[in-house]
Amino acid sequence: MELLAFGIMRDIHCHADAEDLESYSMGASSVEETARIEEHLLICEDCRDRLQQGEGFLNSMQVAARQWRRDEKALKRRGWKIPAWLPVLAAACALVLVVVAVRAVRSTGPAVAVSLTALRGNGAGSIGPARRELSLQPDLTGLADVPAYRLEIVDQTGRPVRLAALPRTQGAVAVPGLAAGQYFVRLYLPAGNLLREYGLEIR
Amino acid sequence: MNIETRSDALTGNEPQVPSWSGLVERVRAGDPSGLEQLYAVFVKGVRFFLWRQFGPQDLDDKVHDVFLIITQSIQRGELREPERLMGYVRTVVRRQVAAHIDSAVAARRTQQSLDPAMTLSDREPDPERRVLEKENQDVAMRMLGALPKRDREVLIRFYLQEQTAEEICRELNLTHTQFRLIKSRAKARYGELGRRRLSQRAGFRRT
Repeated sequence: MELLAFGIMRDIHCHADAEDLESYSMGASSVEETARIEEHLLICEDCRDRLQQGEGFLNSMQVAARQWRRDEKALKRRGWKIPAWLPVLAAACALVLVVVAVRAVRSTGPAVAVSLTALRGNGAGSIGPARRELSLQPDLTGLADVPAYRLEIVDQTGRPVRLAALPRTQGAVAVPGLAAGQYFVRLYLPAGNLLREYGLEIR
Repeated sequence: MNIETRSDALTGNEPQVPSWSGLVERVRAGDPSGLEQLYAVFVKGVRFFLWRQFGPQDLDDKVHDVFLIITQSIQRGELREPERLMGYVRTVVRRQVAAHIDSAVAARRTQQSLDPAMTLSDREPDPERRVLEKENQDVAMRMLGALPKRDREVLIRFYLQEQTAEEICRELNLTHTQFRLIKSRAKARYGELGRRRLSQRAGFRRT
């Protein structure tokens, strides 16, 4: 066959194989191979059918592969996307951490001694820092001599917030930190008789 | 769908072709049987190529033009090597395609109103064809989804990114045989899914 003189060509009358047809469909055949395939296609209905079937597969695969890649990318984007609520949550967490840290720092400091002298009706009373442990030292002058008094702290609405026993000999009682506000410290006899009430402003 | 692989490529049943030199001689002599045989051998192939380029519009006219050119040039003795008849027919078809595209482009450039005879036809598939293509794409998508990741990567690189077999084999550490096997399995699976779909459709019709 004359075409075989080109060396690389096979017999034109032989069917093209699937790989050659696929390369042809994808435009990847050499000039010589393209000529050989096209000349064969001119006279071979079987190969024309196979070419069309192969091109159907090729087109479907290209569309499907493109779609697959798009889906993969979208999935990846979704995977790495920062949700809109995440910064808000992070800020809230940071705020909570700051508050907790501040409270922790404040509450871990040494107890602050507060002398309670001013009685209710004589102004706001003694002043103490908020959120710090307090060492309350009420003025016990003139009070009945008992081994211990009952000490109660109420807020300005009268709601008890702290309760402690105050030994007469110590003259002071440690009280956990209080939030800022106006308080009243009440001193009772063990039997429950109110002896004295002091004003305490926590700032 | 019946996709073949190299292993099951068509064998035997090669097209029956006449002696090209005898055929050319008869055409040159104006023998009607020669003209008839020339037409019979090439008409489907010529139609096939022209249809691929232009679609169905004026297809018969274009086929006729090609045969006119071939016959006349043979009769003028321009085909010096009769054994190259197939190559010559192919060349004429390609020239006709190029000429038609050139004139269509020129006409579009110079004319405001479009002359239907001078336009390239719309190759958009008809609705039925579009549905079929969509179904085939779904089959391909399902097939891709069912493949192991590496096989899928091979197919995507080859068919979408148009990487060469050598590049893919090198980058994914595959032998050429493995590469071909992955492709042929995918084609076989695609064909199988397509056939299953067709049989399901046939079953649906019966009920």
